[in-house]
Amino acid sequence: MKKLMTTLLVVMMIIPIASEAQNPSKRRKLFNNWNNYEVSTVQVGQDGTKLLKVWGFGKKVDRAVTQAKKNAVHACIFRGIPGNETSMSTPAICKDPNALESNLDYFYDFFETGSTYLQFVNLTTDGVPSGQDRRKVDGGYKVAIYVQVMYDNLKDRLETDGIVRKLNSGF
Amino acid sequence: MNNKFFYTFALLIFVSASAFAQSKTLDDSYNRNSVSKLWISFGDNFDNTVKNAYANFSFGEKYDYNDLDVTAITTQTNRGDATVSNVLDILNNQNFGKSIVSYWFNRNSEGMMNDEMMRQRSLYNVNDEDVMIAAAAKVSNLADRSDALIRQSYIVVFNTNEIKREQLKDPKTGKVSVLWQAKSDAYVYQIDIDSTFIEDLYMNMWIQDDDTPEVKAAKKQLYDSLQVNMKTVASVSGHGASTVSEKNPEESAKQSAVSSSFEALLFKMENAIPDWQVKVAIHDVHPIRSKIGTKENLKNTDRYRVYYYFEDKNGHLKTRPKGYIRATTIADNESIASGETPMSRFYQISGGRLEPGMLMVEKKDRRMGISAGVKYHGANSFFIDLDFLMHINDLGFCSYPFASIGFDQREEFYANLAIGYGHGIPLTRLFELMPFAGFGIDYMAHENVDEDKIAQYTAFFAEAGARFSIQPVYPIRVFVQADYSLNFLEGIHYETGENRFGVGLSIGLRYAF
Repeated sequence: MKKLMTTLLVVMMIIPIASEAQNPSKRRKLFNNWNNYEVSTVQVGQDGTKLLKVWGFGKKVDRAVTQAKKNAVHACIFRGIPGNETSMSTPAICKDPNALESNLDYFYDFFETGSTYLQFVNLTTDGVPSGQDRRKVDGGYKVAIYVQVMYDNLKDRLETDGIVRKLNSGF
Repeated sequence: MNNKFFYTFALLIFVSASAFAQSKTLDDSYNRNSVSKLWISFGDNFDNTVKNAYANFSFGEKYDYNDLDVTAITTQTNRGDATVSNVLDILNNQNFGKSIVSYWFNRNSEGMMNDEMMRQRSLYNVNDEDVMIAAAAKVSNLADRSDALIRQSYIVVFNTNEIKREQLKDPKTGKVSVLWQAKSDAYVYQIDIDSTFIEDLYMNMWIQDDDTPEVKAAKKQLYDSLQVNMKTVASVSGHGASTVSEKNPEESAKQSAVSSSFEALLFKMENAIPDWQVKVAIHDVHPIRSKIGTKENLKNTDRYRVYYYFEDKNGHLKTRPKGYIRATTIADNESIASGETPMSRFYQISGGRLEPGMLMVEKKDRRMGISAGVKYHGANSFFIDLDFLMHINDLGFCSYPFASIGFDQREEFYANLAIGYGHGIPLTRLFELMPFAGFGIDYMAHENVDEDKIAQYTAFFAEAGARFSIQPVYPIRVFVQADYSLNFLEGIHYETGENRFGVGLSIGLRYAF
């Protein structure tokens, strides 16, 4: 009985520590996924939107697609979007290179799978990625998807949330 | 004997497995191709026959047609002397490439052009993903993607280089039969232009309404002096033959020999030219469905090979085959894609687990199978079957009419011919059970038998049974077969050998091609 009580006590002490410990590792994983991905402009999007082809990696195809959607929004916020022969390049919404680190909690919630970022991205791929846009690589799949990012809405949201300063805020 | 048999089959399996494991990189894009067809007139008595066969030849819905003013090219050479290279010279000397460009842009005698056909064909070529992307784009350019389509313009020249009449004399009876034979080649040439050509055409040769007369004249002159060459992409051959009979007189036999020499040409051209093979992604896998159909001339039993892309350790993109599928239910998709294109269904006949997004590439086969087997009991010691896959349904049930030839060495030598029908029931992807039934004629060989007495040495027989097969590697199946055969209507000199009819048990191999 005493042994059982001791075991229960230890388990009860470990569980909260373990769940707390998950967050930093999750964060590291979330941010590591942004070290290396490709994004390109497909065509000029409708007003206020960007039409992008973006790559993502995941253990399974659906996870890679999810990551690619996050990458599309990440590119608009932090990296900027390269131009092509029909469209100009677009600078990042967050000009401050430390924006991510200084708003870590905000972006962690923003990019949590299935959360806020999804409001700004529409999939324009027919079904799942196919052909050369669906590649088996070591440890999973690398996929490319075509997405429409609601660029202006995204920018407004970040301004409203105080992550990015409004253009007229300096006057 | 048994060892030889085993090693031959083992080698076959090894070769097939090696071919299956090869990796390369496939292009995953597919655009509709456009074709013009021509035939070669040699100015001899056979021209009309060839012209009729040419007129009846169709490429089907899969292709757009560039109808040129000319349908034949004439040559001073004899039939049989035209080659793929001298036909190319004729095409380039007569500037057929420019005729194709003029057709694409509906150019008139005044040099005015329009892009109406190009826009229509571009729209017909787009797929659902193009439509979805266009809907999200500020300016839809679905109708402006013509470069690839124009570059995929071809001329197919039919060269029937041999038509001959043969008299065959039966050495025993002296009876003479007449056989017409024909050999036809199809030479395929592609327009030889690059991506800058269309741009140059628009910039320097496209006459605008508001151009000054001098500019119009200069542009017209520039186009008139344009040389557009063709290049050779494939050359394939087909043979045909037809025997003269009361129902099939000389002219008719000659015509059917030439026409049948044309029949296999499209199949061979499509297998020889990668751009002519439809490529599309698997959309769903339960059941396997894809957005192609009648627009791509898809027919029940058409075979596709499925590939997936992977990156090797160096990051190079490669393709690896995953399996084969056959079309079962065909969708009518002969309309401009709207984002909701109907899908055709397929059944997997070999390979591993398929997933949505994998690439399907058209790999038509003859839908035939040849089987060889040995029988431990029953009418034949050794037999060869030739079957034809007539139909396959959504569940993979197959219809196989077949013909069989068998040999049996007992006290006498027996040979027989049979025809029948089998119904393949897939138990899993690897196993198939095929009940079958057929009937045939069994001949007991005997020395010095006159032709009119052969019937006295024959018997009819009927057989029914079931074949169970396993497919260790496509296209090879190993089978065991149990059947029951029964002879009847025996000729007066026919002797049934011991254990020749009744229950039979066989094993063998089937190779699909």
